[in-house]
Amino acid sequence: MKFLSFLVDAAIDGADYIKAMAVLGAGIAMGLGSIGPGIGEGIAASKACEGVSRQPEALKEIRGIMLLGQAVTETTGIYSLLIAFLLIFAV
Amino acid sequence: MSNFNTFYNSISPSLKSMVIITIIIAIIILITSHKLKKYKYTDEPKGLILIFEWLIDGMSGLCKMMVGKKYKQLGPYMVTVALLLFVYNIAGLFGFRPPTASVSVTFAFSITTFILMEVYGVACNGVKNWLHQFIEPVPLFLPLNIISDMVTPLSLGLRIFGNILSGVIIMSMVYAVCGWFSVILAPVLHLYFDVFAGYIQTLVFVSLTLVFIGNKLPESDLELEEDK
Repeated sequence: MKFLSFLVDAAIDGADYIKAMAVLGAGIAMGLGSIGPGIGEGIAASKACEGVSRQPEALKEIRGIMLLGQAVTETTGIYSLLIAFLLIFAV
Repeated sequence: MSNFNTFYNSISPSLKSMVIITIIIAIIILITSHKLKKYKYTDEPKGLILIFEWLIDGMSGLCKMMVGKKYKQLGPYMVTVALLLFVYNIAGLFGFRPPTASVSVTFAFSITTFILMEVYGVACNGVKNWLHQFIEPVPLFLPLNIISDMVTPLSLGLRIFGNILSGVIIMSMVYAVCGWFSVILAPVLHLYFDVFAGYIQTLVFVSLTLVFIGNKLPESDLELEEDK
């Protein structure tokens, strides 16, 4: 068990522990929070593809609506990003 | 002089770049209005006049679609907001820190939207109908409606703030990590994080503002009667 002795010697105090957990939490927040927007934006893009293949002349309108919808969908991902930033820089 | 230096250093970088950019935009608009005085409508528009004509024409088309009759009041405001937000968002290209990477700037924009929303709700519906909107479809929805109104400026402001701030942080990481290689890598990332994200966020802010105001207007205001 000698290789684990650094855990005892390192003398991790409360502040270090909080910092480490905050960084870990930032990673978890980013990872879980980007699942939803990723799936949602993929669905929007696939539906836009279907729409364009059905109606190629409506490409311009479909692209605009798709980008607008994706930017709104992305908001939830942005929220988790903000939480991650707060955890890294403000805790 | 040292007083000025301490004062200058105490200002946040966002405020500095915001003041400089706003002054530059104001000068450009003054130049355009000076040119417009000499401009006859039979002339061919070119240069600044062409850009502003395209901007105002596009925005009033968008406003006609979203808020119907009120487009004459809202159009100039939306053009101003779009111009300011877009130049603020792409300020990273000119070496400024984007002012919209500060939460107070984006919240100033989004709270203005919120105030406009409620003012139009009261002015176009009357106080009684405006209050009645909160208990639709059933009185049970009162807290939900109030929360969904209150959360509007929050989500609008945080959306732009998060997007631009993430761009700023990622770009500073790239500059710090890549060294000389960032000369090759940075322009591509700037194109995405500044120009593309800035344009999309401006478009989203303007569209959502118009949608939220349009939701508050009565049905009769939304249809645009045919001109002439």
